[in-house]
Amino acid sequence: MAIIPSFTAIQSSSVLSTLTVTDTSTGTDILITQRRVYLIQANGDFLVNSDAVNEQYFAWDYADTSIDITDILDVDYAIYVRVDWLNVSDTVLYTETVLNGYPGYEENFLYGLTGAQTSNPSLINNANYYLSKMTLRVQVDDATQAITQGGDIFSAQAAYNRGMYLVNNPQTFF
Amino acid sequence: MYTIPEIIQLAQISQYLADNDIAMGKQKDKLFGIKLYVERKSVSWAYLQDPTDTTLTKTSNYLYTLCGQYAAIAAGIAGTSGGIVPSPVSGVIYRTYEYFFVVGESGSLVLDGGNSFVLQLGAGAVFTKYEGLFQLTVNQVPLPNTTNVNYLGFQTSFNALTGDLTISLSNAQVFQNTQPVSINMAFAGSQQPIITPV
Repeated sequence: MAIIPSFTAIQSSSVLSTLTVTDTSTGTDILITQRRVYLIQANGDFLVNSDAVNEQYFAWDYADTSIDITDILDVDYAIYVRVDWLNVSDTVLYTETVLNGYPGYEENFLYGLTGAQTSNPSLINNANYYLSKMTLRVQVDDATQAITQGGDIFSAQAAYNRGMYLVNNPQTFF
Repeated sequence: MYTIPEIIQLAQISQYLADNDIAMGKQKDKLFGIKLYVERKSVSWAYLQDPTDTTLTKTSNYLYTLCGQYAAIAAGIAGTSGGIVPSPVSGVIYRTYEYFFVVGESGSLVLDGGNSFVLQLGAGAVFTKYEGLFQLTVNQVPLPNTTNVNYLGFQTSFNALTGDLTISLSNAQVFQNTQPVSINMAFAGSQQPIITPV
């Protein structure tokens, strides 16, 4: 019996630096004893923290449906998330890769600006302020479109980087 | 008193109305439609993250206020016959469309365990996945449009005769209860899609 491998990898809404990977595979395969999660950045480097094995992957106990990878998303990323299902001899039996975008920091910042506008409604008429806000919105949308329409991790990450520059320099742009 | 999803929908319709007014010289703020879009996207994102977020009351009310004169018109449009939104202008135009639902809840287009759903774009509609933007987001993850059955994503199938657009998950995946699903698309047609919740 084989499995149809699949998973979701979602950024936590309450702790943006945490990525939760959940196995949504169907079927069974008694040969599977372990899983590994690889997070691959646009520049080809593995995204890792101190929990990573060999600075490459996260070991995922097969008894657990999901794994929380904490302190990993320190900025907004476009990432290839790859999960391998392996047997006891470390042979990869199944593998699945998805390209995901994680814009939590930029989206959070945008929502924070909306919150600020509720207390200071005239902000929306400040041309410089709103031009910056629209620019940030465009970066997030660009990244999403690069991923969904083009499968383009490089353009997506470049857009996130432009957005993070605005987020990290609020006194200049907002 | 509108719910937050209703306010988001009103802002979406208001955006179209504002853009029409801008095109016809009736709206002086040329960025008004874009402002409604930017604010709506933020409130939508926060709602998807946590519908119980207490700040949403203030921000969604702000979004509703921002809609201004368009809110009442939008409410009238949104309230017509089961979700069918008539075109504000005649003729074939490229229009954008967004829809959000949670699998298993009111307004859902697919049952738990279902693999696909249909949007009725109407006879005469034109849809190509390359020319028209189509984005499907499930569980807050935008999926790629792919014909590779080994890759997690979705596929579209358009019947040019009937105008029915079928969206199905690839790789034998199925929708599951409580999954938030959103659709963003553009197509050429004279009406908004007819939505038929299951």
